[in-house]
Amino acid sequence: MSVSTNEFQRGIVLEISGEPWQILEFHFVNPGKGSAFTRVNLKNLKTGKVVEKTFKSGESFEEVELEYKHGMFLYKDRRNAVFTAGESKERISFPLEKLSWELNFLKDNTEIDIMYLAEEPYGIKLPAKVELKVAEAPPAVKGNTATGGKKTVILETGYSVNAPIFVSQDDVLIVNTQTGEYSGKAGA
Amino acid sequence: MKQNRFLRIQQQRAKIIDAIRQFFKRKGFLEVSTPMFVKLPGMEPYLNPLPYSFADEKNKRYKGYVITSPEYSLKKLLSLGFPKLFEITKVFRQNESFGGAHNPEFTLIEWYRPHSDYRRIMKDTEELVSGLATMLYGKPAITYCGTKINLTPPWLKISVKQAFKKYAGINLDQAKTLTQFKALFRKNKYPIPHQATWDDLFYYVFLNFIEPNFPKDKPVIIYDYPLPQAALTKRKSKDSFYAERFEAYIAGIEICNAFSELTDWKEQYKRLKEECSLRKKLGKNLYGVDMDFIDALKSGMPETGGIALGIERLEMLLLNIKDINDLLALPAKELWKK
Repeated sequence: MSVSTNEFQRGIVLEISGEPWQILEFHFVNPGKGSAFTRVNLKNLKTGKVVEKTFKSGESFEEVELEYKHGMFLYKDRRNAVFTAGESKERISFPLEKLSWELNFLKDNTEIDIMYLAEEPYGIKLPAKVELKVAEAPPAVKGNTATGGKKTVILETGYSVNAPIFVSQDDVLIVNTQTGEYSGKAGA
Repeated sequence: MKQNRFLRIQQQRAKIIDAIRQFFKRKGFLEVSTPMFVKLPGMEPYLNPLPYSFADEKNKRYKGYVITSPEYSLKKLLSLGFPKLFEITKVFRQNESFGGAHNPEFTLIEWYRPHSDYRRIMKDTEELVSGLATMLYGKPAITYCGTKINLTPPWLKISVKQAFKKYAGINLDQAKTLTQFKALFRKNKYPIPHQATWDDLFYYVFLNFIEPNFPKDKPVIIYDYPLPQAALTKRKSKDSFYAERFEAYIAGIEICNAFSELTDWKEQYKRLKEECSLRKKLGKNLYGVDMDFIDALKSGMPETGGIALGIERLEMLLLNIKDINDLLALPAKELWKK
């Protein structure tokens, strides 16, 4: 399937010059005196090398089809994050630095998908939204609505997110794992 | 806590804008105010002005655009013989992202020096930016995203031609046409973007090979752009492929765009008509050349150096803020994408 820069998403894998590259981050650049461009941080899934490339917006790429096995996050130690994969509950571990973004949203027993490229596990796919408990929330400052009524709270995984001022400690929030942004309060 | 930080940012922005005004007033510039709503906006082929309409007291409707830059209006004043002047105004552009270094509305300062050129404007820019850092931090230096940046003038300067040669191995003298440029791409094994225009090839090289290689610990002024990238700019010499335009980059962020202004009305008219046909080719909204602007040039505008500088980007750098949404009081993203 072909994807254009307008359809880019964090985590998808593109084929560029015959190699599989995963999108880590992307943003829009417009020099104003030429077409718009999209700047992407890409990770080569074979070598682990990370590069920055800038494409003309609207340009299309072939998406690499991946295999997925259902799995679960078990725990992390100082070096690795450990998962089970598939019905056989095979254990798979990845070095922490490989999952620096994903670990913001993983608590024990979170269900995820393990991604395979040519039979080799190389990463995980998070659910689009996860529920995480608020570990720390500063009290709201009364009457301050100029920020759109936002404050920064810390979630149980240690990840900080901007949330509405009514959010308090122990609330469970729904977080979008693509953008890392607050998307609602669970059970609300 | 977050609220206090937010208020502090707005207080610092107020201090910065005051200091910018004082900087130009002290140098004897006249502050002017020109319309944001115009019939015919800038012709820049790759900008997308926002259409706007309103009615008079008889309910007759007027259609136009909000400005992408006050440039035409300011040049009309300069053609009347105005002295050196500046304007701080909101400008509007669409089809850009809500966040990062973009917001659909943002603040530009433009300043113009009659009987001068882009070299003097480079000096103004260096003095302004290093002076603002000194006001905030006691010395002409900032820290942006963990990198210390020394803003002491004079800044590093490199011509576009040198930069293409040094960082991308491309001799722009041999890339004057799209066909020639494509041939150089093939020779260097660079992928040619889909439906590439000359400008696309230019920016493909600039964004992939040049800008990422700029030094991170100091600003860079990149100057003398090839003609297709310089529609409102005076040529270096009569037949030169280069024109007297510069941009300044700090920490990879483009903060301004400046020219020795094109004052020859015939050449200006010709270039605007070319841009108009490029807009047509690119499928952009179409409008005519602002003939009042051409007439103003015809009446005689002195040789002038001028510049547009993005205030929010400068504030982001000075206040160490990575995303414009963390700087603005009410970013478009909050208003429209809730």
